[in-house]
Amino acid sequence: MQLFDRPNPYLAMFSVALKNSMAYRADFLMTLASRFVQAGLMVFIWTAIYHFTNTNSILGITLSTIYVYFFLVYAFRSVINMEVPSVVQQDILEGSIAATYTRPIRYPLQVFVNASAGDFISILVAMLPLLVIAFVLYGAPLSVPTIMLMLAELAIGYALVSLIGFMIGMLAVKITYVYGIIEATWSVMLLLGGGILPLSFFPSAVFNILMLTPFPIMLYMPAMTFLGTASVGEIMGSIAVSLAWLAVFFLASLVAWSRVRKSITSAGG
Amino acid sequence: MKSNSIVRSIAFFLLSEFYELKYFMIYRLQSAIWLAYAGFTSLYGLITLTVIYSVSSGITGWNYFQILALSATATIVLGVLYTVMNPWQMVESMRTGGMDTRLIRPYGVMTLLLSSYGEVTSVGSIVSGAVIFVYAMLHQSVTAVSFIAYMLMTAAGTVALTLFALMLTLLSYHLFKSANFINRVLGILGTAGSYPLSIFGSAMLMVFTVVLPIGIASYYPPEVLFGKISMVPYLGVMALIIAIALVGYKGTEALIRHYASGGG
Repeated sequence: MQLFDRPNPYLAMFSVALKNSMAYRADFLMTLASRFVQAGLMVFIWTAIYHFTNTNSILGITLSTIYVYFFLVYAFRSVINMEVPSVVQQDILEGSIAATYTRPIRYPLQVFVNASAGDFISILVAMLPLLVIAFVLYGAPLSVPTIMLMLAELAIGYALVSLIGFMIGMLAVKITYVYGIIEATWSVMLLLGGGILPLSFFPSAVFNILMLTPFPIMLYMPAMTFLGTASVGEIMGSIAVSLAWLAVFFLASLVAWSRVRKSITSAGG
Repeated sequence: MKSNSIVRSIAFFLLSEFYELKYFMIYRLQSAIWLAYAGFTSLYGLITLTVIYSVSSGITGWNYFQILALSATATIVLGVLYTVMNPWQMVESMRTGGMDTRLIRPYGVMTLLLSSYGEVTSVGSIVSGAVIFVYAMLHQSVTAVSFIAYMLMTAAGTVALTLFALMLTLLSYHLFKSANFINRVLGILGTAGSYPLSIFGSAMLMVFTVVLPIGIASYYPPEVLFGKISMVPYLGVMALIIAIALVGYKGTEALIRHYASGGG
């Protein structure tokens, strides 16, 4: 009975955060429209490049594949947003972080729950329609294992981005303003994650190094899994590397939080 | 009297920028990161174009260094725009009532708007864009006349684009009470402006010349620089730049007259 008397605080928090995010529905629609236009621009740019090169395939990637690739990576951008550090930054600047100590909830979990509500709406409104377009452009059914692998990669990518974001957020306790670091990190993830061009276009030495970083799983690998251009071995290798990074970032986040929580000062209200 | 007013406005603008810089430098680590990030955004374009030209023949009619110069021009133009006007800051200020106190100062509305919401970090983009531009130009030979014509058109185009973006920022506030619209528009302009607009087809070329006029500042000037435009079209683009600047100026004035503070 107690279960019904006392609702889970995290679920309640998620519900409130969801309602707050819904207040910005128009913003999510604008994000969708903007990503659609940007993916369209990339289609124009790469069509021009393929035509001038007078080829239908560059390093094994055909023009039609590249169309799908860009709609996919613009869809997956919902996964690599920097919502977590923005939430921490705001809590510190507004002083609301102090109030979290009086609540029967853990602050890190509260941050993830708050951020995930916005991400949930973003995935629904700004990601799914672009995924549908990519699917239509691809023009072939996806197998269940492919879908499962892609979802697993996206989930790992999301977890990595959230942990990186949390560690950046922890920096805000020490240096107050982290907007610059947030923007810089986002740009690095976008470039090294394959958001600007397929990573296989980089020189092979650079590509091999990039595959050992936590970035390809965020955009490039899920897109390549969808397109069927990555082998099962490559996908599993990438997942293994990313899980290792996930473990490292998880431990680093625990250490960062245990050190930082003692020195939190409220900046305002 | 008129010239006195202009000098006074310029002095106020420069002083505002100076204090903005001082304020920005309070958080030194943060300032360094922001400047590095701003510089990185140019490197971003450099890496992308280098990879594109290493795996393909590139884009019709533009060699690697020419397109690098075009991309750097777009970076510099948008860097200048953001240095004098950050749309997000401006809309936030309108939403919270922060703009109200600024508008009662004894200066013209345009001076107040352009001197209050600059983003100092974008100086990093201007500098890194300029470095890439110089690097590209070291590998190209152009005439002095082309270079002067390029500089004139880039400067005029940047002013017109800034005024136009100012108008769109106010429109964004009037329509959505949010800066998301103008931020998204500028994001699209940043992508489109880094490539020759001709690759987007004639309809989109028209859109990016007249409707969202990034072309007047980042595409046509490099065309002039590399001799792809003759004198008559050059004058036509300059006339268009003046028209867009006027639309931006008058539109901003009209929209600010209907400004209603969002709070306080």
